[in-house]
Amino acid sequence: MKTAIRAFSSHEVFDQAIAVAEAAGTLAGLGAADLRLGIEVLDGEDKNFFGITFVDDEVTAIGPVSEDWYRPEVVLSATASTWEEMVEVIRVNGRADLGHTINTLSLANTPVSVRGDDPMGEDKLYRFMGSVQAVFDALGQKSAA
Amino acid sequence: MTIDMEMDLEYLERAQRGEFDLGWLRSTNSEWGVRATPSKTGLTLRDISIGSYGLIPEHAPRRSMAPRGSDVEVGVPDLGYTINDRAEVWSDNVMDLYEEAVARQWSATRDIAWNDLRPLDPDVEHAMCQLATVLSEVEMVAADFPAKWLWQINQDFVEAKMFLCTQVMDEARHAEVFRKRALANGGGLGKATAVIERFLQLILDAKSYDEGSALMHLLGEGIVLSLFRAGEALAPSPVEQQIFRLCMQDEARHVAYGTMHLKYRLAADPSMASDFHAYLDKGEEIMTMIFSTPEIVEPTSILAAGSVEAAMALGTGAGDILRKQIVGDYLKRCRHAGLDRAGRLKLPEAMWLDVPGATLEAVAS
Repeated sequence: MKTAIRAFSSHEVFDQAIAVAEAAGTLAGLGAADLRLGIEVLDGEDKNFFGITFVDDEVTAIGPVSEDWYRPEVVLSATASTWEEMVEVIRVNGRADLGHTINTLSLANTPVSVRGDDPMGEDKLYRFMGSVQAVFDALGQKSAA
Repeated sequence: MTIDMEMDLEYLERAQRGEFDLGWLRSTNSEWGVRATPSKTGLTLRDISIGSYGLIPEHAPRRSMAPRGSDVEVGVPDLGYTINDRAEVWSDNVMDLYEEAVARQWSATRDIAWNDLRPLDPDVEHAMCQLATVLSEVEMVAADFPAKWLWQINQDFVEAKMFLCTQVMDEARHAEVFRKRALANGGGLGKATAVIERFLQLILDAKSYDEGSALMHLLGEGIVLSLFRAGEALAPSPVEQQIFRLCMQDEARHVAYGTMHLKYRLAADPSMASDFHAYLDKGEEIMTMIFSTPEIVEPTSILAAGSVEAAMALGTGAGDILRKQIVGDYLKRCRHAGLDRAGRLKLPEAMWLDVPGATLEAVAS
């Protein structure tokens, strides 16, 4: 249960994934994005929160931070085991399989829940889903390294 | 005032002698010395929305194609624009959405890994092809509708017109990609149904842009966005998954415009809420029929379950997630725009049951 907390223990894990996606040209190919995405990892009483910010052609990660400080437009929240399973599937397959994309995992708001202050924030997740998924796919690939 | 449209031979003779008029150079009454600063990605619409050029009138002073901010000659013809109030088409996010649309275009020819398609179970292929048929059908109305109104929108709201042009291109690509999917893997096109065409007719025949936009951007595309999200999850292979994900991104832009346009419209004139309720009442009634149509219900159920047998064993249970998401998202967007539909949904009870904000009591009231 602690694996995902460890996997997402700092923003550097996301930084490395972003670097992988950028090096592959994936993010540039999808086009500029504009999104403040929060990633919440729940593990019993513990909680870690990260921010991934897409601004134009740049993607940066920060965390752990408080959600109030980061002020995300939309948050993806799941248990550590859910994140870990997703990362493991991506690591094995090289990318998310049909059942483990961010969209699929959050479709019914479970096991990944989507929350935003207003529906426009949630809709921004869908507007930039390709870019978000590219970062997560690279996260799994990085974990294999 | 009329303009003499005959060739000015005297001017041409003077110009041949080098006696230029230079009125356009010396006495143009528009803002000069403007130096817009590019953002990191380049020079955006927001970057050039500065000074007098960033002043968008609430009511367009003329009906010409003269660029907003230019020095317009007296006597330009009336081009017959019928949408001359900003609130009729504007949304606060329209400039950003235009830039986003331009930056995130994709190609249905090159960006889909068509060669990776593999033979599917014939029933699953049939279900995928039926869904592709419906989507190829409905997506094109979202090109026809903006195209029908574009020429009636005053040029002073050019950013909104430009965004709608991107939507026309987006929807052409969606019609293209689903038509291509239907024909690319041993299947073909399926059935086109009268009930779907009736909804499309409602959009095309809308008496006003307001009515059509509410029906299309907010209701229709909101539902299709949910269908794309579900499609990405139900996709029989990574090829369809990629198709649905790319379409989802485009569709969410259109819904974002529709939601924020309605918000802008209602903020400018709250009394229009009753009109919008009436438009959506009609649209939801037809949606009710669409969601009880086998050509819609059954392909998604089969794709969700993986086979006809499994789908029949499950019934429409697999679609419960989808219908909850559709209604929940739709209600949230309406509320965000300032239109509370929770108390007067015309969608079938089976769709909104258990959806937060759409309780039986709320609907009954």
